[in-house]
Amino acid sequence: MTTQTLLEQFLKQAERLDVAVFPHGPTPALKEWLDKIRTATGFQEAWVDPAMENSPPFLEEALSESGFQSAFPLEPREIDSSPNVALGVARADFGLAYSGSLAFIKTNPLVTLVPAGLLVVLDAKKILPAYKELFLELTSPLPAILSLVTGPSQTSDIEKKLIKGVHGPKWVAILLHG
Amino acid sequence: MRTRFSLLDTPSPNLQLEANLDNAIAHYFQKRALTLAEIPEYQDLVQRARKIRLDTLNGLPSHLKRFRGVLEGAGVRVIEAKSAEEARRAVFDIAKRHDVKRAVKSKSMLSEEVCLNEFLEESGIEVVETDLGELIVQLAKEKPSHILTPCIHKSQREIAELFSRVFQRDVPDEESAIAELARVFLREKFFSADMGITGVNFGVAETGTLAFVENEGNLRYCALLPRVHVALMGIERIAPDMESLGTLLTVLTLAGTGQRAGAYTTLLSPPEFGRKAPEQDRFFYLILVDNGRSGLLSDPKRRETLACIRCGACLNACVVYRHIGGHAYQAPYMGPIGAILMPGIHPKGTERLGFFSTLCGACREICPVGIDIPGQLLAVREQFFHHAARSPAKGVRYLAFLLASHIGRHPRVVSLARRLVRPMLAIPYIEHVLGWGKARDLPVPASRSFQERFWGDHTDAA
Ligand code: SF4
Repeated sequence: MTTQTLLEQFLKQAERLDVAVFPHGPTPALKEWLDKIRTATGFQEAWVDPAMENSPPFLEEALSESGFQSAFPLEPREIDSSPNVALGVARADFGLAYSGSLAFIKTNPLVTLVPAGLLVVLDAKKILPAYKELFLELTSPLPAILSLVTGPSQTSDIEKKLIKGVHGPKWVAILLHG
Repeated sequence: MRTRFSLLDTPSPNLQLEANLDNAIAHYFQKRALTLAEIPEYQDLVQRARKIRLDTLNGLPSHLKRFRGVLEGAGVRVIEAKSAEEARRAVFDIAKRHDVKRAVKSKSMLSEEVCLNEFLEESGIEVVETDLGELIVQLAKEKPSHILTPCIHKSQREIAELFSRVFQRDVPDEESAIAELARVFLREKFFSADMGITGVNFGVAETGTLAFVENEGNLRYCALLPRVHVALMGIERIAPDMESLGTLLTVLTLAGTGQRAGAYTTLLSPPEFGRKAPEQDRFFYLILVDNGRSGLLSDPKRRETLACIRCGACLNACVVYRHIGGHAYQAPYMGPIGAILMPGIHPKGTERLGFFSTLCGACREICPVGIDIPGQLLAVREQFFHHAARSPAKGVRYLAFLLASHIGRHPRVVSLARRLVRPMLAIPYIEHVLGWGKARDLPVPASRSFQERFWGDHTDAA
């Protein structure tokens, strides 16, 4: 499968999962999305994963323009007992074309779980077909925690109605580059 | 503490039950059909998954040995529990050792099987269910009625009324309001819990990896936030290698919820995982539960039942389940999988579950690992008759059937018997006295038989 085919499949699944995909840059669409989360939650705090190498320079600016105060996350035990965090920002190591999943190896999984919104930076060249290829990419020793996120947190426990954001992020977006 | 399944305190089904089930299951089939329409290779995946599961079961002791070896080699504490009692005791001992006051728990049918919550709570440890459906049944003091959707028997209105009562505030009949209340309530619990209890979807023999799949994110909280994490895993839930894990994860969500992947899939792998936990002053324990599985494994006719990956699809496909609901089974596992698994791991009081089926085969069609469930049901029935034939009650039963067959040949006597029985069954709560009605309706015979109505109507017409 070519990189282009994988990308197309990934984007199709992301759309189905209601995951917004923005080009890598300070676009009006990104600003609109950040504003939406800021307003909907009423919170200011954004966690930027410390494991995120080469944080895109425009991101810090976009966050502050939308009124976020960005902070590096603390260790889980130091997290406040009821963290009102609006946004988590992290870099995914891989994407999966089959399911639209985002795979994180180095990121603290709480960054992708506790906040109400999740913004993920992804390299388009890192999109793999499915689980099999992802597991082949993992080198020994295997990562202590491999966490995959496939769309917003959700439940259908009440009359099978889809409810988003039940424990984890309600809004997920991807900044795609490469 | 109640550990006998026949004594589970479950409510009688109400008239709303069938409507609630029909509504939920119709949604499931719609979603599943849409997803599978785009995956033409699905049946090949099912065949591959079936082969993986059956081959794994055939070599289970050596896979388990390898799995344990990798985990223990990395410093992970693995505890073997032969029975439900041992499993409960192991969790309790861990809780005591770490001075646990509150535990948060994600959905785990295995914990239901070993009656863990009741035991911990009677020992003074607060257990909070964190999956939304599980929380709803816990607050209602009920038991799950579906493997994947524990509160499938409840309508939104019933849940809103329950939350209003429990949280002492007016909760609107809106799914988002109910979920928001649960989110706020549980978040505080996650951050204040001393211990997290989870199940395990699969353990990988080759790498010692533990795989967890969910949609809400509550499992991830339970596994990663509290200082102690206890994972309960049935000994049969082994995947030999990572490639097999990929196949099993794929069919699990496709069959269970019609999703290509669960919203959250978490893989914990040694040696890094084993090393990191103590460094961060965190503790992880894996409890490998047998509880009757070895017996099933050693029976070549019944081994296939252990291939189940608990997707819950067979419940949705079963015409019997859809009419009577999960509580009627009076067992932690319900539907077709309950009917074949329970008599295998806990025969006492559950052998009759093999008759909760029309043998139509819809469960076999939908099963993502192609288990021949009707064949297994027949084996359960055979086992039942084999035991019944040796029971001292056999003679009495034989006479009862003989008498019934004689009565059945005389319509007047049948009519008289019906008239005698009818007023008795109309006595309120008689069904509870008889035991049958604890989770089922006991129908009162019609006032006029079909023959009486038929001939009566014809006479009227003439
Ligand atoms: S028996 Fe098959 S369909 Fe039923 S829960 Fe198990 S894997 Fe799913």
